[in-house]
Amino acid sequence: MKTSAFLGTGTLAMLALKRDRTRLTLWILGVALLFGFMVAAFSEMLPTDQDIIYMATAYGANPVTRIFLGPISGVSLGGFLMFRLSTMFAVIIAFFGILTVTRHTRHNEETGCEELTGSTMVGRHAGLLAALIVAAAGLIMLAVLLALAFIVNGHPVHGSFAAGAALGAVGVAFAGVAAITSQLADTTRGANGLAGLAMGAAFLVSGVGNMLGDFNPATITITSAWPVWLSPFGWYQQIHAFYDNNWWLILLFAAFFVLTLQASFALKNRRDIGLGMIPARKGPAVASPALLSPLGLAWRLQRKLFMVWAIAALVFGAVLGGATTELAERMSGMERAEVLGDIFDMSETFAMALVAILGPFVVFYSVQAFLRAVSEETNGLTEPILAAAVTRLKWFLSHITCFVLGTIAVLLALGLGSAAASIVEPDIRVLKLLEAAIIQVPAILVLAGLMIMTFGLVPRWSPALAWAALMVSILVGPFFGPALELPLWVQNISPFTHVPAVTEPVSFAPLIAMLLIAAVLTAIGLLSFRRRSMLT
Amino acid sequence: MPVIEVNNLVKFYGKFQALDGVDMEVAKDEVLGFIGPNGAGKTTTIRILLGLLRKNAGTTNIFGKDAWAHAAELHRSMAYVPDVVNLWPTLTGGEVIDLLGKLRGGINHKRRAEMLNRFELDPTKKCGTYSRGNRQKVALVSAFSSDAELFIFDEPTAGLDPLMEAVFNECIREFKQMGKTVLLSSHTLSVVEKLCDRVSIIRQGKIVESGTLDELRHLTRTSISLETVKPITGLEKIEGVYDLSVEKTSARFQVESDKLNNVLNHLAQFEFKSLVSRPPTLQELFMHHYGDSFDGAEQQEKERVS
Repeated sequence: MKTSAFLGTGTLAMLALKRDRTRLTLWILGVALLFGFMVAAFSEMLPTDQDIIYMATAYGANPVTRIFLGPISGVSLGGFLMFRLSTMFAVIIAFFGILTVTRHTRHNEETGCEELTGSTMVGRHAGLLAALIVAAAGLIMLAVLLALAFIVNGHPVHGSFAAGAALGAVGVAFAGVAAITSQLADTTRGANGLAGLAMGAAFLVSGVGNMLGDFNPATITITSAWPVWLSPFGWYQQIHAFYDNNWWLILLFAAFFVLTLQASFALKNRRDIGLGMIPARKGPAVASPALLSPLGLAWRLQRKLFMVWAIAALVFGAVLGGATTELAERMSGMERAEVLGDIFDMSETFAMALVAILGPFVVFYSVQAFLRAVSEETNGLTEPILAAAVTRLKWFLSHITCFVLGTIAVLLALGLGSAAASIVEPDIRVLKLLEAAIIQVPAILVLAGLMIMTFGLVPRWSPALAWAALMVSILVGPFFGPALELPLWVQNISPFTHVPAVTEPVSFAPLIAMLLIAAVLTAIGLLSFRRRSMLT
Repeated sequence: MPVIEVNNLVKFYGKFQALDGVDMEVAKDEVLGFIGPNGAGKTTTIRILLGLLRKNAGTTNIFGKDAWAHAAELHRSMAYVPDVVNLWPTLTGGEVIDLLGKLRGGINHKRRAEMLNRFELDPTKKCGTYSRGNRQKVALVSAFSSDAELFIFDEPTAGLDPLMEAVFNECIREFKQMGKTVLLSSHTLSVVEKLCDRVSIIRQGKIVESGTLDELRHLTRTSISLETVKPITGLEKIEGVYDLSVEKTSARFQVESDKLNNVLNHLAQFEFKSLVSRPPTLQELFMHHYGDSFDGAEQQEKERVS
């Protein structure tokens, strides 16, 4: 009974590998190369211990940046890189784990492929196990490549492997989470969304743990507070690669993975193929008037994604904003001057800096919402709309309206959330924080315009180009560009480089210029969309 | 003025030529059957008529207006049911019917209720849970609840059971009575045979035959089987006779329609006991124009007879 449930796992794993050979190779090589490049860049930039101490103090003493970076332990280039770079890569790798698992589980059910394979000599859990095997194999390969990226740059071998294993383990943990969410949700999108939410929460928890921890400027160490132990992001950081290399924490990951595995098998036993854990409910027999327009439909299709992001932005802003302002209160005048120069009110400046760092990440929402429109076409769902008395312009503008207004609303939610601390902290002005959020809008609109243009000109490439534009704009933008000492013209590629700093009075020229660029790109996109053949 | 008027329509997908000068006309309150093998260009033609695809050359007018330039405006008086019905999985069938109706410019609520009843569709279910046939019913109910003048159906009965197919046939007849125009693309030749006034056969991007069923029948062969009093001789020498099998006083064969008179004159000398003549079915017409495969079918037919 037990073994028959896994019959055919090997064959299905080979099938998945064969289907994904290009995709897996691109992902793994892409992430490893990007990582290697960043390691090389930082290694060159920080030749002496003095440089490392200087940089580590600049970041580590600031509670806002501590949220987004790992802990640091002692002075070593490898340790500094894990501190500075690892969180972003941990998020990317976790995404890789999630997407690989949902693609070979829930997506196979959605397309009916699992029904076909399930009718052959294949056990009930074979598909799920095969997906996890493929994800784990990919992640192990990636972990080795990440270790090599350190080694070729001259870092200690032991620490390099500990670092690679730590990052790979995060991916494995979230592959396990995705195995569970694939049973809970009845669509791939839903399974990805739930797993993404779990990841966001885990990131938040470990970030708060690091922020509430202590930075010791004498030894250059951050001692994290207890919340980090609640999150896989905290676990990998506590391995302290290049310092004490706590390999035993890998066991924690292994235990977590086995647990998620058992849970997902148990859930799968309790449900029917093709369905989620929550039975499909019946709905209204007649449409509400609000649905009966292209705009109404677009809103209906994007509503859930928007709600999730708006609430997540509120919560992120409130938790992080509340914690940073409280910390700022506790800091002595000396410490404050060290961190930010004591020009502005500390609590408010901290909260604004937080909004400025988080703001660009709202572009993830814009891309997802935009891809909803793209998938309408690839799923053949623009056909019934355009076969009715609806012009192309009207259909596309409806979706654009939804995701542009949605983006602005999510940014405002972030600002409002960060301002929640103002209830107890009268120095914080809500309007100031909303302003910090709203000045990000033109930069995001430039990216939106770019996506709209690709959809009109090269629709098949549009999703890939959208993600590429997002990655580039964040990587060469303010969060990484200056730290990597990239040439100014490279940094200028990212629209976020042109967002005025929150600590300075707002200058309108770059904002207006970006709005104009966004308008031109959008116009090109709309005109070419009107002229092209539909794909489905 | 014809409702649909297509002249010399050409469409390339990259280097592949999907349509090679299609001509077609559909008059008011006419039902035109549009038939052809897979990949012949039926769906491409329809999608150009709907303004979803750009054409490379030719004219496509609906109600005298260009199908691309005036797409949205024309769609107010058109209803379309695609061959593969994709619906929004999170909306209910009822919501989709109302949505598409409203986007076409209005919905006839009385007819909506009637059609839901006739097609036995539960409008409260989410589209994601409908079977293929039920998704097709959603599209059909939505189309039949509109006050459109022109209906375009692409394989409308492929997923329906025989009872529902009968309901569909009924609806088409009623709509024809109401003076509506229908373009019906289908593989189910029995449906086309029952419903259509005229038929256009498309093959490799070209219309190879067009006309009423009667007109088309003249172009092919009639099947004949007969018994006579005296033994039959000499039949094999007559021009236009095919698939002949003779057994003393009985014979079965096919004859080209314009040679029928010669053959019967010849046979009269043997004194008829019984004679059955069957006009070619649409299936045979279709096979006739389907070139290469036709020989295969003929071969099969021979084997079956001998």
